[in-house]
Amino acid sequence: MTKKFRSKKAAERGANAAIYIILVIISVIWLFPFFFLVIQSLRGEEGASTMYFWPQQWTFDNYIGLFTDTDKFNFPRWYGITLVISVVVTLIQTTIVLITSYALSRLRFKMRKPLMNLMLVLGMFPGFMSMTAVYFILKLVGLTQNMGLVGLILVYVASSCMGYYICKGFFDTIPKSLDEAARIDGANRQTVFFKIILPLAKPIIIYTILTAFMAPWGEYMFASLIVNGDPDNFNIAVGLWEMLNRETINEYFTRFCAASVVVSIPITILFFCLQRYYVQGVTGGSVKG
Amino acid sequence: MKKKGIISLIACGAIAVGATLGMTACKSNKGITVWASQDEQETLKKMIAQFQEANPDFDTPINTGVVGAGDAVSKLSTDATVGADVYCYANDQLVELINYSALAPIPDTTVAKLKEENDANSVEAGLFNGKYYGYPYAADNGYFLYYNKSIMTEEDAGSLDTLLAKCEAEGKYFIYNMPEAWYTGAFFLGTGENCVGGTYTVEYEAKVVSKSYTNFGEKVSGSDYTIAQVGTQAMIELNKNSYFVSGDDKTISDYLNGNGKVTKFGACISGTWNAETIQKKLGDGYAATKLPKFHSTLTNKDYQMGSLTGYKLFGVNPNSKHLAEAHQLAAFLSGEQMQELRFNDLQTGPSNKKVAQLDAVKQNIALSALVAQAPYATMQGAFPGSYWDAMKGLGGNVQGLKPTITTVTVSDTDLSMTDALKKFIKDFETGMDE
Amino acid sequence: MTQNVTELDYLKMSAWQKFCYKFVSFFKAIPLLFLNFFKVRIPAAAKRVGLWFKNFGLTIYSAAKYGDWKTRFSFVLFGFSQLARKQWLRGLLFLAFETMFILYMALFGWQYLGMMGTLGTVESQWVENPWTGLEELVPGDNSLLILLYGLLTIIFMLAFVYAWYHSIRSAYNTQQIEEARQRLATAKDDVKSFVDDQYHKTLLAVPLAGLTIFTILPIIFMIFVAFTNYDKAHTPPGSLFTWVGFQNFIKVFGGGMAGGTFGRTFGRVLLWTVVWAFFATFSNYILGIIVALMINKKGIRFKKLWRTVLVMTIAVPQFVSLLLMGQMLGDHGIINNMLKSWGLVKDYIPFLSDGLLAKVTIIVVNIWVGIPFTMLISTGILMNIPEDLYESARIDGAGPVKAFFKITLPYMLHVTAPYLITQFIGNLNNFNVIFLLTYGGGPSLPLLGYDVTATDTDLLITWLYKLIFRNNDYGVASVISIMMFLMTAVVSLVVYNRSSAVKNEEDFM
Repeated sequence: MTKKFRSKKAAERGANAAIYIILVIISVIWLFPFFFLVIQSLRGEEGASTMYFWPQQWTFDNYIGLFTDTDKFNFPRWYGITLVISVVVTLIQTTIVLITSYALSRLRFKMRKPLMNLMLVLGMFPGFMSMTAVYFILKLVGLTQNMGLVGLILVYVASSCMGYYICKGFFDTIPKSLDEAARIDGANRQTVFFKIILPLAKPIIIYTILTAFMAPWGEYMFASLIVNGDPDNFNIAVGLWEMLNRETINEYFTRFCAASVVVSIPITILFFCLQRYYVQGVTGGSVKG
Repeated sequence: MKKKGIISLIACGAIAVGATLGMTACKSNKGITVWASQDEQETLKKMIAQFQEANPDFDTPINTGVVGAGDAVSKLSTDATVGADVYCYANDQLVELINYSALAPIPDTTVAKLKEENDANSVEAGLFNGKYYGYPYAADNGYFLYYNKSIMTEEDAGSLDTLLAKCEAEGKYFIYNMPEAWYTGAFFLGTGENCVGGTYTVEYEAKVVSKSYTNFGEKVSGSDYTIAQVGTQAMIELNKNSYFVSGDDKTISDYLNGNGKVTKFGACISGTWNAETIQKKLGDGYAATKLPKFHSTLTNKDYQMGSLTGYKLFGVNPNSKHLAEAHQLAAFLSGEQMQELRFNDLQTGPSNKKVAQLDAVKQNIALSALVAQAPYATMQGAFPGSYWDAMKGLGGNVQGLKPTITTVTVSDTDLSMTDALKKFIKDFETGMDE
Repeated sequence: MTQNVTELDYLKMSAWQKFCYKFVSFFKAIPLLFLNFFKVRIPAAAKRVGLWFKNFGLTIYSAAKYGDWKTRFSFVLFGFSQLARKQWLRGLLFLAFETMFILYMALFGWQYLGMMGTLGTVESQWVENPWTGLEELVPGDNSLLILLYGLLTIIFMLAFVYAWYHSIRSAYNTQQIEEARQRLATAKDDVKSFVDDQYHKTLLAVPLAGLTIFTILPIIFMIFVAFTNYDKAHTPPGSLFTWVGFQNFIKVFGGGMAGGTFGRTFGRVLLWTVVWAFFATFSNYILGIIVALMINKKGIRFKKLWRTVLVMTIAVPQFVSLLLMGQMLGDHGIINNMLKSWGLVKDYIPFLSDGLLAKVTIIVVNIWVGIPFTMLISTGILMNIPEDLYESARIDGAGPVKAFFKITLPYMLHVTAPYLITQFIGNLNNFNVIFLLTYGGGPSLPLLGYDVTATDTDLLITWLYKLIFRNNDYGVASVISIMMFLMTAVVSLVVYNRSSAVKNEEDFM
């Protein structure tokens, strides 16, 4: 009996060891591109690419250059602009997603189901097909040139109610008896939303915030259309893309890598801190029996 | 009761008017905007300062924006009315830009002056339907051969075979971007002395390509093989060589760096934008010349590789609020002094005849190579997408043979490749936009 | 085998058989669903619309016939009756809307509406300015703006008719209430109702306005473009485009484009799109669950660390990470160079330049991108699986592999079906991974028999992108995108409305 028990324990330990090995391998594979990115950003010698992995010279100049050598590529400004866009987009988008989800999850009205279906399928139309039309709609209300950034934010958030799906799923899991109890106590629907639902929805709020915050950092297509070549209004993606022109790539590729590292740091930290809520939110929202 | 109704009516109106006015916020157009690539910004600002110095009574403010000559058409295609007043463009975008109402014709008097001062081809590059649409400032949008002088002589670099032999002897490599349509044409195009004789013709109807075709299906003079066969066969032969590397600018950078100490760069086909990088890495070994000849195993003859060449011009946006000033500025920016400044700052190949004759320009290795290649170069007009797609397809297909197959040849017996080539030729010979 | 399966038969099946059964019966049900759609849903919808119009007519009729002068005056001046009856808020809202509409039409809308039939007739022209001697552009009609703003105006007009109807209905209701000497709703009541029983209107007004203007209008616009000759030869503002009926549809389906190879290419791209979506979805799904299982296993430490490592792929913008991956996997990228220096390959492995291998590479890279998401989602669910299920399986002598297929996977499939479907549909339209990884290129298709505009790894959506931005062929591209849209929309609507999540929406009461 003890022998069997011990061997079982040994098997368990063996399995764990195997899992550790696999996890380490997976981690190596997953981290390799980032590792490569960081290594490239510390490379001292110029060139768009090298055949060897480890740089010949190590340097921090690429990082320092990002913040000091701003005449040609004004990275701090682009970073600031993208951050502002991201924060504003996050605020508006989170609000819109939350109220839409609440309405669709808790309120009952005539057009609810058709509306849900409509919002679902609209997202499947290729976005770049409607870019021209969206541009001229913005132009109509004067949000293209000097006001381009406002227009950009508007476009990013305008259709965010289409992302109601996971959030509504989460709201659906909050027991309705809570609302009803509050309704009997005389609370109106608005009070229910603010006092009952929102306090319980912390994970999904954080999930929505995280996803909303990340999107503007990589958006290139519309941003490049709307800033119209004005470098003062570039966002990160448009600005960094300029570094990859055939005239500049040899000199600036390493700096491009450094910039990418700097961009990914805040998001990584955010994720690290808020992971728990993210998991709860996405689990609660996207699954149901 | 009625009174209140009227008052509220007026109030409503006021609100609505306010909202509508807010909606149609007026846009203020501040001065003239000039676009140039990020790389050229510093020089451009210098030029503008000189312009303002030379024209003290020019009181329209001038701004700059970051859009390079290669991107002009993509930025202007959606809405030309908000584009820059003056911008650079590569001449292959000419027709498209005119189609978007993004280019204004140049007054005849100015054209005469441009023709007098600049290389004839560079002015012609802005010609469409009898009108001229650009102020040329650069004649370096082409490619040629860079080679490592420390392992081969200029004579060795004159032929693909000797070039590759030298590379092999020294353990270095020859880099050429085979599946990139712009370069793939090197094996087909060119009607100069000893070229295979490929031409490309584009016909316009109104503002669009109505028909475009090649003579790639014709026999190479004095042989039984078509231009397409000879070119493709040469590509396949080149691709077999293990000291040939098909790669883009990144690959060139790879091989220049080599293992970090010793370069693995033997030669490459590229343009002036790479000159600085290559010179820095090769030092004394840095050299450039016209493209090499290739030997055809089909006809048993040598043929000079052709190339595509283009120009860069300043265009004036007809939607500009300051049209006359924009023309004045564009003329200045493309003038002799400015081309000299541009050469000094950016090593841009000038289109201005006088600047081209300057000693410094003549001694510039990359630019002289470009001049040497000029007789074999084909002017790159507004080739339709199908040209690029077909060339890319051919280059990609040939290059894709490398890791697996090494014995494919193009001959009448190899049916599948012949059929593919026929299709390839046919792609060019149908009208493009019926 | 799936016909007439009784409940008993079903219960006897293994988890996999159950899954297969569900899978097959799902697809078998689609034709029936269509039938149902045409036989039941469409008539029902038509009936509803008919009813609405009937109400519309009735209301207008009775308001005109029995309304007092205040109500009747509301026909012309929105909200007048409400204002006259001291319902300030309602009255003002209606009135404000009418004023805005009239101003919009007068200042802007009418000019575009009139040109909708032709989409413009005046070409832009060059005129020499006698003072400067320069040729100046006199802009003509802009077909694109006419179509777009014309549609916007039509949407406004529909909204106007709707508001007009509601204004009259509300006016007439108010009159009736007044006549019955009952209490009229005051502004305060209105405000109250907007945070309570009308709360959905308050909440959804802004989101839906944004949706209408920035998503629905552009989509309607693109659908209309499919019936015009908007292409390279007819590009505003340089030239006009106009209506051409079904010509673009004939072009696409008649195989008239580029000498007949177009249809064949379309088929090949479509096939790869579906194959890709299938593999991309399921590889991520299964591997993601396995990784989550490993991390969550009892006795494994540093759980947060492992998760964070994986989650980092989400944090770096895709245009950076995928671009870099593309470079690393290139013919002369770092990976090939390393393999070569270790003597493992002689030349190079064409990870992204060989048609078949590139497809595999892309799916593998997509696993790299996608596993973290599945891992995060399944982490929470896996904890919910009752431990005693595993315990009893272990007592029955089931190993971990068997337990995975017997317990974990069926449970996960059951619970995460909606997620899986979202993923599948998302992958059908996955632009980023393929476009960025191949730098917009990709290995060439065989020269023989295919249209050269597409590459071997192109999905429909990336191909469409090339068609538009390279050839400006908006008309044809619109046709293709409409087809894509219909395809994905129908599949997803059917799936969603059949999935348990929607059916059991009220389960958590």
